[in-house]
Amino acid sequence: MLNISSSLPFRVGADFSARIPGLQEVFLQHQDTARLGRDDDEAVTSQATSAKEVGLRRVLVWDLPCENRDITVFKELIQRLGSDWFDAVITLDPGAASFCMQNLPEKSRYLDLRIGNHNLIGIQTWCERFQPECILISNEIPMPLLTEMRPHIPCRVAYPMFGKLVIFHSPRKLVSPVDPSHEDHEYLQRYITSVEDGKRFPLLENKHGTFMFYEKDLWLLPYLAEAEAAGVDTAFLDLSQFEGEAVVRALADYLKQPDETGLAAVKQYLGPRLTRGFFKSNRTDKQFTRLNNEHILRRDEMTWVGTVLETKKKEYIAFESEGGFAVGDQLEIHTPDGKTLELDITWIKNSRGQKVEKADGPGLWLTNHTAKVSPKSRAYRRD
Amino acid sequence: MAGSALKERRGPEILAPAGNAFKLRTAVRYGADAVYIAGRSFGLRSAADNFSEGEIIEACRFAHAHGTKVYVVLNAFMFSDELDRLPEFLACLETAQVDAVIVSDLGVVETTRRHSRIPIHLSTQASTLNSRAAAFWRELGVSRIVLGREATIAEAAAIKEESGVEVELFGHGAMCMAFSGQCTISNFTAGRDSNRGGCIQSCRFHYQLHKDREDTNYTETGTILSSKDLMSLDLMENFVRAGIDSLKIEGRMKSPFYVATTTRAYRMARDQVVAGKSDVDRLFSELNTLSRRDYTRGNLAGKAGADSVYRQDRAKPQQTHFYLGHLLEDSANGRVLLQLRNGLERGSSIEILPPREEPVSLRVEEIFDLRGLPIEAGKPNQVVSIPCEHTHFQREWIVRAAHVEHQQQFAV
Repeated sequence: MLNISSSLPFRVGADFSARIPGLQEVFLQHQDTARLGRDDDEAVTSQATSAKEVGLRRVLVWDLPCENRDITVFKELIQRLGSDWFDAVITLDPGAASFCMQNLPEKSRYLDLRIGNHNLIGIQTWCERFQPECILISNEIPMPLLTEMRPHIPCRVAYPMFGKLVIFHSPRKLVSPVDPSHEDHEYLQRYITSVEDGKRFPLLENKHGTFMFYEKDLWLLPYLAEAEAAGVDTAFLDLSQFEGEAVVRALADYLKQPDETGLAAVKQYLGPRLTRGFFKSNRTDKQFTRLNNEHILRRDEMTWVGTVLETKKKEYIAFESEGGFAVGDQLEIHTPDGKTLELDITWIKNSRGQKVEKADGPGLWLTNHTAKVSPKSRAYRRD
Repeated sequence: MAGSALKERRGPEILAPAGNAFKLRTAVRYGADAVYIAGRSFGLRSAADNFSEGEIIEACRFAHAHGTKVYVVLNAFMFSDELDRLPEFLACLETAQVDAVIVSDLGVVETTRRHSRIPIHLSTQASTLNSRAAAFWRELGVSRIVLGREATIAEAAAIKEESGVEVELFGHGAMCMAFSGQCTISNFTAGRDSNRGGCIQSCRFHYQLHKDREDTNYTETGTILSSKDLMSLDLMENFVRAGIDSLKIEGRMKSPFYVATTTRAYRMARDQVVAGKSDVDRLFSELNTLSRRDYTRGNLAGKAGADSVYRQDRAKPQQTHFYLGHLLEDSANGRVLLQLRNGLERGSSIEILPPREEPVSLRVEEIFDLRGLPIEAGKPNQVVSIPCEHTHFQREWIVRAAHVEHQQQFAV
């Protein structure tokens, strides 16, 4: 069975969380180092102690995009509490990873690669540089792609399979300035509804800024076997945005016996809609390009002449051109609506209306007219 | 630092956006030290026209002839199959002699390093904000880092000193509210990867705030997630003092008018500061000619607070001018030839924007169409000529006009 890593629900002991079948390690989220962390020194070390007592590994979360002062804050945490209370550190920022490699060489390194990092070369380079024990990869890597990549990844692979999905993190405080009823500036949980599309998103403001979560919660527990077959070593359950023991109890029951009753019990702690994210397929793997009109994109395989600026029916076509065409030439014109037209040049005038044999430099050139040519058409010379 | 010491510094490179070939030439003519462009793939602004490989070669030729560098953005987060196609494109970029590529994905950094000798700049999408991360990227072959927009100028100077890498900061334009590269709203809500050219700008939407999921009451917050636009003209001296290597202007999707105005203003400000003098107020009024959100200094002079949020429910700042068009030929024989982007009526006033001089106002007494016939008004996209005694106006200079409510202020 797949191993499980989990962050802890607020105010739930690691010892209680050990009820989750397959749980091997817990992520400890100190409020100074974890972007969604709520635990202070006492709470986080207490969690660490109880985790050790029930045989769980302890992974300290340091997932801030770090400024220099965040590295100082981490140093101070280690000076204050020592480093015996955790076994590994998971980092998002390469500066943080570099700090841990140099200053905590005895600790295992985990890398949080959940944003981007969709290609094997990048993942391999991260592994080569930091030699992590484990990487937590993006839900935007679907299982078919992971199946291809997995044999070439030299460390344990964890995959997000449960919890709220952070889709926006701003370092600025965005809720408290507009909420007339807030009492606690340190931790504000609200919802926002988009006026444009009616979607309602959970929102959180804490000392690290403002976070928006996807309206649907990630629900991949029915796919643990499929993930394991694709090469996932560890399923990561993010419980950090839940509160109380009930969700752990429901999850534990479901994982022991996955059925509809268990699913319904877990669902009452989740949002009204669930998502698999990109587990099955990734609709975003093709770059977004459809806003471009390909008919007016310049083609390198032909000799470029210029762009049509204006036409006057039965009178002229005006080109903005670098020149390089003459009376007797045949032009191929590509219109914005996709037509390809021919134009035999019978006369050319410069912008003063004087007839010339050749357009011999940059500027505006008028030629004889042909039907269906419209502004923004592209002209090429047929050699 | 005394003015004489400032003179010893070059000041930051002014790096301008170029969404297509005309915008590139505009940026170059209006004083950019460097421009950034994208090919048809691998960038984040798929809606920009972007450059074919042939156009990239021509762009480099034109820019280099004017002493301007060309950087090509490859800052999309790529999948493995795209990386397979990248070496061929890199070979084209080497042939074109581009001066650097701008990259955010480690796989792209590594592929570029393996397959080319093109200098690598790390994109702001990588959210680099500390010296150790900067040193890490330098060891991987990155020569310059476009720091996260969350960095102050002072922090950027410290990162440069401690890591030994060149630093670039965004100095002007629209900005993400989220850490760049860390936002996936579009990915999940619209199936369009914001880090692969598909951003739907959800942060610009209007939102209502609720206490809990089922709450039917709400506080109307407006554009709670939207940032004001960055503006740092008045911080130019700080850029120069701190030794920031490059000041970047956002906006490959924006108009040639925007490119010309911003590039010209920041170039003038940099040159003035380095020369020990500055007329920021005059230059600031130039930036107010543009369509924009309210301005903020962002994080450049200190961490951005609540006043950096753009509340669209407030009165929109009034741009003083609009883009009228550009000159199609050098002025000669008593006239200028103009391609219009907006309508032009006889009797109105227009302003020609020279790259290094004050704008020149003209009263439009007559308008002629391409047949030489007099007309009362020119339509958008029409080519017209107007009488003009000035003979030093050059092809592709930008022409603007004041909005009616500002015409008195700018009257000829």
